[in-house]
Amino acid sequence: MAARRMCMKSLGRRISHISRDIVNQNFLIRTYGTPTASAYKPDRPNQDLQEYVEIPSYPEIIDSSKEGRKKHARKQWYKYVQELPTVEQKLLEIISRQKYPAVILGPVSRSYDLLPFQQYCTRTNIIKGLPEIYQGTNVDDVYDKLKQQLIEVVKVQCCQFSRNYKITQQKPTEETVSRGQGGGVLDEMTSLISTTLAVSDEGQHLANAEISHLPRCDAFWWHAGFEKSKITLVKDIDDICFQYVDQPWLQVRTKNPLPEIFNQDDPACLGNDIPPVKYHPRVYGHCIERRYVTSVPGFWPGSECEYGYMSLHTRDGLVKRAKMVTDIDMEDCINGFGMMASFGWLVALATYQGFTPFNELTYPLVTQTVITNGQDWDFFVYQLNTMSFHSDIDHNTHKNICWTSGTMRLFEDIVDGEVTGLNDDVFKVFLKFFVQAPKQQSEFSLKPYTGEDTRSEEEKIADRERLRRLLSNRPNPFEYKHEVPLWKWIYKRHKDAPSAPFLK
Amino acid sequence: MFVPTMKLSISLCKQHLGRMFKSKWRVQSQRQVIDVGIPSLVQEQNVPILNALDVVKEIKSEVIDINSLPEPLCEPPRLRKNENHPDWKENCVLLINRNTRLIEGEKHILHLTKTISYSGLPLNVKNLLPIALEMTDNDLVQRSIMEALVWDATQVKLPKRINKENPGLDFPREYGIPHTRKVTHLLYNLVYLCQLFYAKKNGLWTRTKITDAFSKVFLEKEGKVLLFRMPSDVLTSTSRPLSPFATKEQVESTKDQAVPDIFPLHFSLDLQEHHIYTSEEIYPLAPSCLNCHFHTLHITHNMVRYWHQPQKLARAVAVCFTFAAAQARQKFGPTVKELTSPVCVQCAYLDGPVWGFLGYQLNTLNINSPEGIKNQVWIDGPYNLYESCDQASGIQGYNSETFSKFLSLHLNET
Repeated sequence: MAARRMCMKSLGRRISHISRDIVNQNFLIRTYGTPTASAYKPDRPNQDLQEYVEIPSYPEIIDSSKEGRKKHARKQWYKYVQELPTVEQKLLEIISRQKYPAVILGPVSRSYDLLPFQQYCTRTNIIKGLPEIYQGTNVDDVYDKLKQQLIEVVKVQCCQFSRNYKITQQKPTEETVSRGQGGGVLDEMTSLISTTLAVSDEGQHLANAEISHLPRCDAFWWHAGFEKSKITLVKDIDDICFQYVDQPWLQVRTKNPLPEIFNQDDPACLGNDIPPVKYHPRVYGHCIERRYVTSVPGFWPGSECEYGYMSLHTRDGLVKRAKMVTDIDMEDCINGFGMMASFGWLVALATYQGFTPFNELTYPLVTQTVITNGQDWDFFVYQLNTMSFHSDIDHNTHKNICWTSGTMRLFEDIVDGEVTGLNDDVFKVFLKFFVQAPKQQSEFSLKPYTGEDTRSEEEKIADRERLRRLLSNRPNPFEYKHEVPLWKWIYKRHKDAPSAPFLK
Repeated sequence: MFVPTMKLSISLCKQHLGRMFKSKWRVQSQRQVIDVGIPSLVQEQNVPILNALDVVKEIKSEVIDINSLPEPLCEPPRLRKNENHPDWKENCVLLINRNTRLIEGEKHILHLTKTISYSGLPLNVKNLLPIALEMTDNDLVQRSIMEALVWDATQVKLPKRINKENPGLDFPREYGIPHTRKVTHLLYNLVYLCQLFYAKKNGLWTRTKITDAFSKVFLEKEGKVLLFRMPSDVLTSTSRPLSPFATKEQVESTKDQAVPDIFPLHFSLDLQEHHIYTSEEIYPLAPSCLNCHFHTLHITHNMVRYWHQPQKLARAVAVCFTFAAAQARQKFGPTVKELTSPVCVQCAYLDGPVWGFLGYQLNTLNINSPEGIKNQVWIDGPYNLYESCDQASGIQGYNSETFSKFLSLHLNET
């Protein structure tokens, strides 16, 4: 029996040798239906080289230590990922490699004083006040046209929500009020403003924009430089994988990207002067989950509108925190919310442009974010300059920038159907967000790391189905087979347990 | 430490404990009671012998009535389905809500609401169709359909698919967009397009759009009280009421026409007897709202459960009737019977690919007697918006006229 097993092993090894050789000759082997990890195999010296050449070409000098060899192999893999022609192949290559132990992050902070940590793990500099472009734009004409309608929207949506609850005779919680009112106001205002502007000359970009309701927004990235936790899942890895999970109320997407606010070579974007917060994420109460990391900006690759224009959120996640913290902490919390929501979406969008956490951005991406409960409004503008914080490729050359407007109150109260204490500036800032026009870029390629898709139709379908299967993160029915029973921990794996080679 | 989600039952049930118990019983049942002569010895010392069962008393556990306990311990009063519910009334009403599936379909609801039906849309909406056809941008419409049904990246566990050919074999469980989300997302996208085209025509969207609005009306018919409690997924309203679909003479002529009869069935068939309700009526819009006249109602069939097309149509008519009645009560007072000016609403009902359109004119709220003027409904459809839609083959069998009809409802000016 043992001999038979040995024989099978050697046979398997021989087959793998053959396939590796074929891969080196640029043949692609794929088997459908079997969960092969990837087509990537590390480089081996080419045997067809002639022995004597006129100009000698020497191989690259590599650090021959164990660490150095490992790092070299990883870099080879990053290069391989970069050269893959389509987004689906790139994502599949990274995701299907293993179930990474990932720190799950959401937009709302769970613990106190989390803003420095959030800034460090997204490498973001926060600037108070919106950029100069927004202060320069004039929207008075549009505002005069829309003012009455906008006030009507606020009045109706805030009253309507409480009327709906009369039927069920329940007392709505503060969270449901925040979600219902904020969501209603956002729905109505976005459709009102975008339809009105789409007809006029100022907002032609909105005529072809896509609005999606409650989309799924996931992103992942790596960051180095955290202290090691005593209970890490994988002990010899310094870089921590972060998984961002969110569901905004609305997303507005356009065919072209928003223009950059600062050039990438501007001193505001250069350097990394974010103060490090080196505590392990476990210290802040973030849970670690071993899962297939996901990167989904709300739609599948193939949709026409694939650039982020604006994401709109409700404030219901902040209600519980508002009871526990003071106003200053609340400001930090909201800034963190806006920052994380913008960064998470932009990273996910960048992966659809062919960039990955291992292949750095070549041009900045910009988005706008709004958070509201109908009454209090927060506006953010975010420019993503860098997203690869992995220690292998990180050069600390750039940082991201987030502009915040601070909390603005739209109205004081609604008494007998009349809005009191109305603040016009909020409407104007919201309108300015819609007037910003995306630009068609012709100077540089928007997708530098993608190429021509040479896969056959069968391969395309197989890749797509496999990627979606991994992204769904469905529970594995055979998970229990990996289970280590409790007695094994006590009688076999405990440090005081005697050696028991026959105990299985 | 790696702690996966696990099933312990497999390892626990590996050993069949039943056989062990059986063998124990078999062995122990053959034991015999040996007489060691104790009773005679005890009786000699004048100790009385009693039956053991007389001495040992069975402990009876007290059954506590949960509802007799104070508030936090007992069942919440609002969840009770009996007389203890705070809103329980002795007089039952017949309830018509979103889930009411009238078996006779269209005929049944027409009989119930005293309505006469005409085929095709009303004239003033029909006249708008050429304009709507001209304005429709089919690329935009098709893109909106694709966004809702294909490009949406939601992945939720979908309900089990039944293998009809071989019921024993299961399909692998699928993850994707749930049916409810598909239909509502499609509706939101197409209503947004209607807003866009309306703004193109008039310069500004001046109506109010509300999601998940409710109306509730009580009416009497043949000695029984009917409770109409209907939702509208998306509701648009305007500042002025819709102009009537039929002239006064046409309304007068309905006196001679008869509503459909469903004999030998009774109208209360499929209506649920309901005891828990409050007596107030609900008009969904706030009194301070500028746009306080209903324009178009949208109702989706967003459940996986199969309904026949006439049943979906019946629900759409019921929605129209409920909202129009609530509007009439709001306008003319709670005791109004025959309306001095009719109330009109439009409605679109959909089931993903299949769309239908209605125009409803409420002339009377006196549904008790079969005589007098009647309500009128114009029924158009059902039409296919598309036949199938997936990523591999795109939209198959797209019908551009369906969206144009939907748009013409929204272009109808007051």
